[in-house]
Amino acid sequence: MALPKYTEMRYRVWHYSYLVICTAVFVFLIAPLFVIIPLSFNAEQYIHFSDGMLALQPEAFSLRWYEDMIYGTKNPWGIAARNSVYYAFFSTIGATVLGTVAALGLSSRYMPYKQLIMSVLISPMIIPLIISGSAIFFSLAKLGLAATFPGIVIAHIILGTPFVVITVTATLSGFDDSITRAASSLGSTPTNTFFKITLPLITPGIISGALFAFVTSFDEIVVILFVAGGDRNLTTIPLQMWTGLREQLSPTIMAVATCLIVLSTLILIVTELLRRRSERIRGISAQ
Amino acid sequence: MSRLTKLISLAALLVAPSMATAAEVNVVSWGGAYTESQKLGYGDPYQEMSGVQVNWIDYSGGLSEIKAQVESGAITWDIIDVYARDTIIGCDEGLFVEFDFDNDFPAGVNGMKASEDFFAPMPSDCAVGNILYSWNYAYNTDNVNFDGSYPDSMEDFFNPDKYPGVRSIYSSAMSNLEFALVADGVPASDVYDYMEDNGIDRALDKLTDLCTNPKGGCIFWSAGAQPPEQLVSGEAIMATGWNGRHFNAIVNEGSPMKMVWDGQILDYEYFVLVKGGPNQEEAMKALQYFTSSEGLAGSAKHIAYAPFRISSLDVIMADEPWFYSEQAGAVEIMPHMPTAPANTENYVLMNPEWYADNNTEINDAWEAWKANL
Amino acid sequence: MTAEIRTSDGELLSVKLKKVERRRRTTAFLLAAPLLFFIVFAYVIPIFQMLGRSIDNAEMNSFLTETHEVMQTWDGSEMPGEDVTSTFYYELKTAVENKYHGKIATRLNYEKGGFTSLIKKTSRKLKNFDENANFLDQFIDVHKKWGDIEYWQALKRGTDAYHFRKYLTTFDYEQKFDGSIERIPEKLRINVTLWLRTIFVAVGVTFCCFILAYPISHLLSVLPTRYSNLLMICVLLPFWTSLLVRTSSWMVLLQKQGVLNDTLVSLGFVADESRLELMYNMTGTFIAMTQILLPFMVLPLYSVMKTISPSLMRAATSMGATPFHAFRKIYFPLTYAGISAGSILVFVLAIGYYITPALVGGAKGILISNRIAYHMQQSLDWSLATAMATVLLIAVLVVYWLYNKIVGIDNMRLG
Repeated sequence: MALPKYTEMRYRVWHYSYLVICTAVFVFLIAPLFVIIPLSFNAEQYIHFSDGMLALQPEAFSLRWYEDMIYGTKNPWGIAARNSVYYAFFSTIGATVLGTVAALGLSSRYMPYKQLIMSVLISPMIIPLIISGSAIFFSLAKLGLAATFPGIVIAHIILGTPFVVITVTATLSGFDDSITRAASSLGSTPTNTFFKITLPLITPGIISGALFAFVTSFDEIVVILFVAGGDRNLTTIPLQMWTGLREQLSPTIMAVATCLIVLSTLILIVTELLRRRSERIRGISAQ
Repeated sequence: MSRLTKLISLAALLVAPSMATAAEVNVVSWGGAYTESQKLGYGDPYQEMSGVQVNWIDYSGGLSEIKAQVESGAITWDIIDVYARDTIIGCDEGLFVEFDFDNDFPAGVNGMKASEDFFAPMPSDCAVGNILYSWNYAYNTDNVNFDGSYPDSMEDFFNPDKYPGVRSIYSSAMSNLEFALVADGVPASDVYDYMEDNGIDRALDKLTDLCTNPKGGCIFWSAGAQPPEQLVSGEAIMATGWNGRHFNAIVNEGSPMKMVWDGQILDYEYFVLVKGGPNQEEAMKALQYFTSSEGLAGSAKHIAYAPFRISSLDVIMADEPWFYSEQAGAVEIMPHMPTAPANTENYVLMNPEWYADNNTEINDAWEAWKANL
Repeated sequence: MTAEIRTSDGELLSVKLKKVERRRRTTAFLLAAPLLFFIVFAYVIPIFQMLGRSIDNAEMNSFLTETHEVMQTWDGSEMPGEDVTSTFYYELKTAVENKYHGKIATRLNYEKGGFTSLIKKTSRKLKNFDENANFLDQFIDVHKKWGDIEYWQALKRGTDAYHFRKYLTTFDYEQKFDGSIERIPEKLRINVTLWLRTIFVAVGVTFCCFILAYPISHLLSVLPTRYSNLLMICVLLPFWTSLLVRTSSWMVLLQKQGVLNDTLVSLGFVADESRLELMYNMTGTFIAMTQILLPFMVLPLYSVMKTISPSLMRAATSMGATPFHAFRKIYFPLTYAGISAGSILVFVLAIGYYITPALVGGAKGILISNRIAYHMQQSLDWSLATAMATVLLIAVLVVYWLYNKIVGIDNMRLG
């Protein structure tokens, strides 16, 4: 981004103020997350940077809130974490299978009513969660599935599928049909072609769709507020955070939040690796 | 494919233990220091005695959650600790079990039968008394400089010009309307007569003055643990709240706070038994223990709320100092009760009937007021 | 004359091709079918059923069916006759015996305030009624409100099987008993304020996101991959991080005793007594929502900008355009697709926002979704909640339709 020597003064000024603006926006985006991390190691009970922390005195830092998170009795973070993982795991499987199969159909040139069907399939992503939450709650209640494990998984599958459909369709849209035709002309059965050719090529898309579905379920709060119905045994991490935040910001919540930031960093790394892999396989640059 | 099946069955195995059912009772209460006092006072003793596990669930009041559970057919709560208003509404709507009071609840240790041992009549057939508590306000003695004079009346709470700073008030209408009328000069005993006669508007106007005054301002609390925390952190300079929570913050946490009892609202708190709850029979037995003379006296060992039974008060007075905590040691609890003579010089007695009858109008007016602040 | 082309098995090629195409269509549809049926039955139909609740009053109608029928012949201009009052008496008696009079009271109270106490008091006294005496007089003896004709009019209206009045309430209007439609008293108005606030916040947040996202998306698209990948973390990490984590980080920052205020005080910009009110108002909602939704604007913009060749701008400047002019005439129009995709994504998400306003907004910063949740979970006036949800849904669908019209759903990309 170095400027050519002949650049006029006013463009130089403009250029540097542009860089300053960009830096400010990046800070605005990322800084709030990093505020949480040191506060979770606070030795005090209050959410602020104590003088000791600013002076980097070791005794101002402690792991007590992480201990509280694991062993404390006030909030059942253990149950919550277990439930969150279960819901996310099962709903990801459901959403990925249903979504991938549907995306294969939707990407076909022969798909009838493509636009309409696509709109319906994506609707859970577009319609405000508060509406989805109430509607799903009423229908699960009618089936006797409200406040049950399967009920929550069904709700999360509904919310997760649009992401899988979108990512897999996107991968398939860059897919070169002549490869499969070549395979069949060489005598491969359609099933064989699918598992040997198509599937490996769209795997990065499927995995990134599955990741979306996983994160959607893992972070979901609005729908579960309706569907979990006060049952402590069905609680999730976001539900516990919501309950906690409504009362008071506690350092324990900061500790949980830090763990979640670590998790999202891991997800970020996985998606980056996937992107690179997909670039390599297809020999094209990322979209 | 088989790997997937294995994975699923493994996961199913992990889920299974959580679904195992031992005898248990789910009790819903207000969380924080209050639930702690209930747990220590009668929850844990009962669990030890009977082997039935008592699960404590936090909520922030109201019948909406239990109504949603009933509507959805998935009831998970057994016993709820509710306002008097909600025992009336819930009983009318058939949410709770109606008691045959003297048969269902044991006589006091003094030999009086249950209906006489509880010192006030129950507001509905579904209610069994628990505690008598108070809504009052407290201020932070450290954080703010009142120039040597400290607030000591309800009027002072509503006078940000004299005592500048943000106030924290309850997020629903209950208590705020009464406080506002008392501060506006209505005699404490006549508050509800005034309510019928345009009093809601008058109270809301008084609150508007407080909350829109640039020297004042309001934030809202919804969980009982919030007011002391907001006072200590400095988010608010004065906060209304429940006397037991303030007491807990002062005595157990050593917070620099002081309570003001002028214009306090005395209110009763009740248990109800959910009709069709998951463990209704076990829950009834647990409830009998909770509300026995020893049970109710037990919770007063850990919080400054008066037990509902005369016989429980006898138990306490015979054994003062009754209150005990690790941080504070043994403390005489009777002077800290909301009913102590020094605390009841000017008080409002909560009228749950008025709230039950006018619930919708009060809520509509309150929500519109809050949104238009 | 052209010979008919046949395939190796002797069939006409055109026929065979059609067959193959039909088979492919069927296969494609069958692949999409499981998810389609799942979404339709588990999601789309429940949504319509729920929306139906906004006009459905069948339960109430079933409680007092006969009273409702008898009342059809009563024109409401003077006090009802004994046919009405006696039918009502017997039906209320059944209701008390079966313990659903509480529900009747709650529902009728939505029609006219004071009904809760009226029904309750009457229910308690019902056993003292003399079934041979005049019922209306006895009702009035129990409670003088029964002498007010409006309660009987409310009873008639409140037992209709369908009604559309909740849609009036959604916009702070009410239907009087004489049929006229009026705005509700000023002190009780709340919904219009919230609708306007929601639209203002959604438009404002979208605009702010656009202003903030444009320069950084541009920077990301022109930087060499090594650097842009690094900076992209700043966008993607928040994107993948839990909404509640990000909301709590804003609570930490914006509180009165929070990090931002602490910093300002220690730097001497603000006096300790007059710390800024950044939370529990619109400011908090606005700032937090902008940061949380920003990645949804950056990602579509970036993916569009990445495809714009830098040589276009160079060509324009080399032909004498000033950089500003070249930007306005060449670069900016090329990013329209990204702008519209990002804007509509952010707008649709913002208009239905619930969690962040509830936590950061306090009483003054809540939006229409919070109001829907309030009626869903607190006041339990489900018909009003669903009426408001219907209006919100229509608003979102209109935007969605526009999006589809301009950009096409197929082009939706996630990063």
